[in-house]
Amino acid sequence: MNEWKALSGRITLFPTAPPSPSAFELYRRVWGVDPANFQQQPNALLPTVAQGTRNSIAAQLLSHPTRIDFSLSPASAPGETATTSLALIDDTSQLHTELMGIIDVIAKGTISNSVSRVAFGVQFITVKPNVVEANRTLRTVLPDQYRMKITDEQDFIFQINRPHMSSKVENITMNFLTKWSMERLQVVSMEIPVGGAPIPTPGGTSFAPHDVKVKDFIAASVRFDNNNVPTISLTSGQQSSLLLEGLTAVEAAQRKIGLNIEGF
Amino acid sequence: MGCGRIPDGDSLFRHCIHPVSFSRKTFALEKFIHLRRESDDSLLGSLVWERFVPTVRHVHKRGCEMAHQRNEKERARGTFKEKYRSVYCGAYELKANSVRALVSAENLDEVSSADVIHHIEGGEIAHTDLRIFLKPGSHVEATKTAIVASLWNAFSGPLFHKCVCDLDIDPHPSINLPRPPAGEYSDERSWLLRLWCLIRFQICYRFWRIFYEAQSNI
Amino acid sequence: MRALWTTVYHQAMVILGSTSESSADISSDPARSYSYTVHSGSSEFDFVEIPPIRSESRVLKTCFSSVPVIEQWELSQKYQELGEALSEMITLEGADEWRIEPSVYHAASYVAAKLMEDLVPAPQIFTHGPESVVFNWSDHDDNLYLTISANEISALISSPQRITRRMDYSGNQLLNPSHLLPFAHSGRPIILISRSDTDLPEFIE
Repeated sequence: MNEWKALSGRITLFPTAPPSPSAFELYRRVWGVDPANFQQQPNALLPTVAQGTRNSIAAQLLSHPTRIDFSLSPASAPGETATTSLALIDDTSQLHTELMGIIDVIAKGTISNSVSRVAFGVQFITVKPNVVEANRTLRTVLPDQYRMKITDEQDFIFQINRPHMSSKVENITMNFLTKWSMERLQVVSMEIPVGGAPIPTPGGTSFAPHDVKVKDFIAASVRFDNNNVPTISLTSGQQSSLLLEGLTAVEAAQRKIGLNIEGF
Repeated sequence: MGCGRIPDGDSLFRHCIHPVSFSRKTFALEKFIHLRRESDDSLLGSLVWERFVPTVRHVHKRGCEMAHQRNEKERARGTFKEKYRSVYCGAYELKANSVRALVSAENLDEVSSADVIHHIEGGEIAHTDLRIFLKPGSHVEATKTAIVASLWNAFSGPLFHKCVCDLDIDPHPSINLPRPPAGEYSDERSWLLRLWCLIRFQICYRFWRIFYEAQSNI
Repeated sequence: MRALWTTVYHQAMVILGSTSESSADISSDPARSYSYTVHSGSSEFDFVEIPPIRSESRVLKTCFSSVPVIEQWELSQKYQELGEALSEMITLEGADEWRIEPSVYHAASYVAAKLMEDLVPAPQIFTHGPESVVFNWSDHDDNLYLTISANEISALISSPQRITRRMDYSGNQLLNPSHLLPFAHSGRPIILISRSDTDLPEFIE
């Protein structure tokens, strides 16, 4: 069984002209149903957020004046507390399918025809018991020419960008970033009242979380970010072509460094 | 109805009145000058003429009245909300010739004429139009900003004030009014001239009230 | 409705009830750069009805070992105030003279968001009618104004004596409004941070 799992997948569009549709509307366009949660913002510079679940994957759509993010992350089951394990996307084939689905919707032009930049990103991690193990794992997936002698150093980060011309859209320069890092993840579990009613605290009536538990996880992480250098405007066809190119590049890159993620 | 040409050296005052919710440093309150487009394509703003607000006390009295009238109008419509309550914070002064000088201001070629014209409006004797004509093809919004920028350089003040009905607002937004580049306001009239202005105002005002009430009763 | 918080930075204090044991993990891990302070509540209890509770877990995606940059946080706070101010100007009831058109609101929001991403200091704002919003930066008595209409931006610099420079731009140039600023600074270099990655900025998360 592959120790590497997916922590997140993200597709981002950068609109050139306001306004961006609200996250609620975009969520419906992409996934055909209303989101389970929607957060409107009275502040012009804060994003609207729509969230829902797609099988075992949490889907979030964030709409900001300058970017639209489609994010996929692990969904936690209702009532589940993650004090013993970190929730990850085990079914990476499902993640791949969802990302392809988003790209298909973008290709149809239902999101935005006024976009200067698109980005495709995905993060894979493997949880390790300590920093030394995490660094050892990172060394195995670092290409030979970059392989560093890291042992117990904390907060290791190594990122490179390999810009190149797009093979799908003329005159477009693509950034292809790969970032190897040791990540420290905390899972905070707390009990909160159903419906958001305040828990009376002794001597007061303020809201206070009850029985908070915090669990640390150390992980080796590889993150890919494929995006184009901003241009005047991309058609929906160009947007989807560049995103597919990004997905293909990630598939090849992760195989090359030995992650061998199923479905990618 | 007006009183003839306003002399170049006469002072005009601009009142700073805004919703109380704008009382934040994010807003450059001192530069909120409403310039509305008229049917003849001119830009129109509002000032008050010193001849009919002869002392600072009269300036502030008028400012408080204007804010009060706006609030009462909203109450009458049923749309008054406390957070949008109009608050008078103070005033800035500029000379009539500063407005007329816009025509020849550097980097402000769009202005073909600019003047201040005494125009009694809504029963208010001190009201004065700030009227600016632009050349055809001008980019109106950018020109408005250029006008505001030029006028800001000509203002002096601020004359801070808190109306009695606004003493509950703490901190009062008047503290946010900054000093303009031309510096603080200084009334350079001699005491004799001030006395004359006051007497003249009282006479004009009384005649005006008689006339206005007579007109209202017709 | 489920809680929608997604990212929490572990610089906050954790407040536990007096009957709960604090987690040993919180305060004893020497790798942490920040210490936790645990406050206990009063030991006196009133009889109160406790509503039903459920468990929630969230993953903190980032843990800082380095000291965060406070200026960036302050900048995002100022831009949040700017965003609130823009929202006020579109929802004003009554004081019509300060209201702006929805198209102007969207254009101004876009420009403000772009400026925020480029870490440009937050401007003050004002308006002189419903068809534009003006972003204003002051440097002593010099002023820089960006007039933002639905489809155009204009820039203007003014000294205390006169207007020194003006420039008009079309809607396409909204793409990078921060690039309009170097002209305004008359040769003084502006440092704009260029990023090739597309991670969510912290002040959006």
